Amino acid sequence: MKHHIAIKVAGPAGSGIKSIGLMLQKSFQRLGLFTFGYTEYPSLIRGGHNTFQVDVSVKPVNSSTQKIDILLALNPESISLHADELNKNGVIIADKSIVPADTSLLKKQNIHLIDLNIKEILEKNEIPLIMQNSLQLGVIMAICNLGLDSLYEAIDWTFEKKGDDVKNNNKKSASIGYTLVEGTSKDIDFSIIPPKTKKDTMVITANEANGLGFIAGKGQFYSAYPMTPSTNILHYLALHGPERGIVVRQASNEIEAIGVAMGASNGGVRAMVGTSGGGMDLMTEFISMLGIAEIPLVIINAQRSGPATGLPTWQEQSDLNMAKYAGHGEYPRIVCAPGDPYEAYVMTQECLNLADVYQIPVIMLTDKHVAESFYTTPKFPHPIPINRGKLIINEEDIKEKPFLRYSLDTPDGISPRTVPGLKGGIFLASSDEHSQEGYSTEDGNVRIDQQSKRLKKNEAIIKAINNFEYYGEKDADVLIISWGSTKGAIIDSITELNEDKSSKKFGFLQIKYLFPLNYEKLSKLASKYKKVILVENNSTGQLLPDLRLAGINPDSMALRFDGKPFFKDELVDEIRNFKLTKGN
Amino acid sequence: MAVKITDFNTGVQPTWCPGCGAYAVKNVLPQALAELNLPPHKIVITYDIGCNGNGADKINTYAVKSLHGRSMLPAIGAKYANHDLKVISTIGDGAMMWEGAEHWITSAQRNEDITVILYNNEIYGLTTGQTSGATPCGVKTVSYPYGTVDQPMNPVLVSIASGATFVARAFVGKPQHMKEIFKQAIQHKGFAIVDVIMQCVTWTKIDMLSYYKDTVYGLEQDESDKPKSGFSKTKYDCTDKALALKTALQKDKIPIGVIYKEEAPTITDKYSPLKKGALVNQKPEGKIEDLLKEFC
Repeated sequence: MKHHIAIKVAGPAGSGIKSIGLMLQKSFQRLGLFTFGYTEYPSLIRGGHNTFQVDVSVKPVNSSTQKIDILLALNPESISLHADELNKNGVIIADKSIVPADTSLLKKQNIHLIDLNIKEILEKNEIPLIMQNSLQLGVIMAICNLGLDSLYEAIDWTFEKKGDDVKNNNKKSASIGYTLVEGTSKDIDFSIIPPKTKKDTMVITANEANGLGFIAGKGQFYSAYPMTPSTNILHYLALHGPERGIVVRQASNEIEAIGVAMGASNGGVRAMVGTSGGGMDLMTEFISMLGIAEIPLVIINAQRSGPATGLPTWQEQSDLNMAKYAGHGEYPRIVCAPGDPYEAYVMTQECLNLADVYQIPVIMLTDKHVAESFYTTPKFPHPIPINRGKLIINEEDIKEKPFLRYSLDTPDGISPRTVPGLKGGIFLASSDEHSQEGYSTEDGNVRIDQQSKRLKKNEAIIKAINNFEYYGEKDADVLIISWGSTKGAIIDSITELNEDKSSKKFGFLQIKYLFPLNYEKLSKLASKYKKVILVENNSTGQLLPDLRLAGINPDSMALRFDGKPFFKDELVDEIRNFKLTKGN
Repeated sequence: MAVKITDFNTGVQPTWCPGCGAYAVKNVLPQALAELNLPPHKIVITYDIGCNGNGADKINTYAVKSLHGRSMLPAIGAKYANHDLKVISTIGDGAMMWEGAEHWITSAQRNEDITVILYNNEIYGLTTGQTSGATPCGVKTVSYPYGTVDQPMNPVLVSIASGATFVARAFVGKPQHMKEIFKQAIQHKGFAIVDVIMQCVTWTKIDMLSYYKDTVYGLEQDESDKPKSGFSKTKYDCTDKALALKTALQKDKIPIGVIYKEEAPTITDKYSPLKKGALVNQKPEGKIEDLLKEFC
């Protein structure tokens, strides 16, 4: 009996790895099991090696493990690359044609082999070879002892638009695979029993959640230039935006994306841009302009490995410094990072509100891991209330005559803004320092007044946002501090450790809103723990300066920057033993 | 109530050098807007950086003073937010042809529904007289004291080639003609650009105003601007693209007027949400529940 099984599908790019992985997740989800789908792929369309790992569990699972139980290999390379990752008594499922002639090494490692003559079987049953994946999925369902119903549902879901022939043949293929393996070997048993009560869940990535959050937040203008791993926000909104009244515009570069979005936002519609680090580099001059012209905008940076092109399709969280400091000059902004798709959905809406209320750029950092991994999350809640702040969209609401867009008569530093088209609300939104009307000035006193007005917003912002979330044991010995997508592996790790009586007790402080940061509160939160570990998916630990400003000196750091996320089994080992990670 | 020229006054005193070509645009553009009866609050004008940008607070309309080379971007955004507004992007030759050339070319390619007014004095003024993308080869400037080494860009030629659907040239020395061109450009649906040739009185060593006066000729005669010798007597067909490209290449005489014009779909034809009216006036509808099904 298993509580957790890790299944890796591996093969050449272009062979439908992702589709197999998603069908697996759907099959398990329908049974009430929890899954986590993690994909690795090189920056190639064809010819590279792709994997999709599905971790399935009877309890919520938010990360992958390094070690796997089942390897579905679609080419010989997949066996040689991943056989070492298999746990004892693990199994390789593969077509006979790709299995190495000498399997003694596998046997020595206690690895079982299910090698099938798939081509022959399918030919005999008059099923096109293209449907071999369903046969293999049938095999997996059999060794997990889960029946075929949920796989059939997943087939219907996957081939919704393909017609009954395709669905039926795939089901037939699946049932052949199931029957071939069912009960044939007592050694191969990955039986897993789904929980009795089924929760309302979704399987989704943060990219899609960002898109849904934008729709829920009544966003109306999205522009982006394609860049991995942010591109699926563009794809999602391009597909679903028009029916929701959203203009989705592919820009010719990131400068255009943000410049046009700024114009639309200044025109009164909620706007957002999405990119990765390299694209945000290009956007920085306009982030600075948003600062002085006090124009709201949400900027999503789905981080990937840098510097420059780095490892373009791999994980890293190294743009925190950039998000906090990009763009010349001094002006208020907010930087946040959701830890999973559920938070990405809610926080996208929060970001739209914060941008509108404070008339500032709000930067959301996601990363390859959260943006492209398939999480099982509770069903998304209803949209949060919209708050557009001091936006005036009706002429009768303009009280001042003449209207002063950058009025100093404001205790919180936020002046009412109108939108073009309103009589009596004319203003100039300027990249220059400006008077209350927006007119250019080089008068030092006016400059001081306007700069002070803008910076005043920081006081209100720090009160309005909740920087932290706490998870784990109340009276923990060790506090882990982190931000962003590391949340999944950390939660899974400390859950396991806290259940282990021999282990120290762990707590986790997630910094969701990273800037501006309430140092006093951070200091208070962290001070009662004996040990503090900083966990980040980068090589330097970009939270360190903040922690030190709060008087916290981490006892240890777990840093990972090989392009991969933290895996649960590995992180458990590291934090249990306070081991410093590779590279340090 | 009819719109008056004085409605466009901000009361802010211009800071351009006496005799600068920018004054002409600042004076003529409000005339054109008033004659089209466009009230200031129904207009967005965007500005760039440099001498052009110093005009940002001189005409009373909704306005954005953008970053260098980026005047067209907030203009495009303003149009998406509310396509009932008239949106005009003003920009200098240094900004349009060098710093922000990509935006000029792609905006033309995509037929963005804005009117671009190019302040073309063939030099960087505010940064004290360096070579621009429009400075003729050989002209001595502070950045090329031994003579500009590059061939200048031809904004009319590149605009037509890039897909602009209204391309015209005006000369500040012929303000009545310029006003009529502005009116046509503003009324055009799609990407309209007017190359306004003007003098820089401070950094250019030759008398550009006199040079242009001797060199320009009107493609079409019109009532307000009586033809002098050298003006075309035949009717010019501005819808003929091949002819327009040939005309754009003329060097000995400089044609002014509408050089190229075509009808083409604009954003309201391309983006379905805009068919329901201005985006800013819409209330996005639909339950999020319907979109969650695919993930459940």
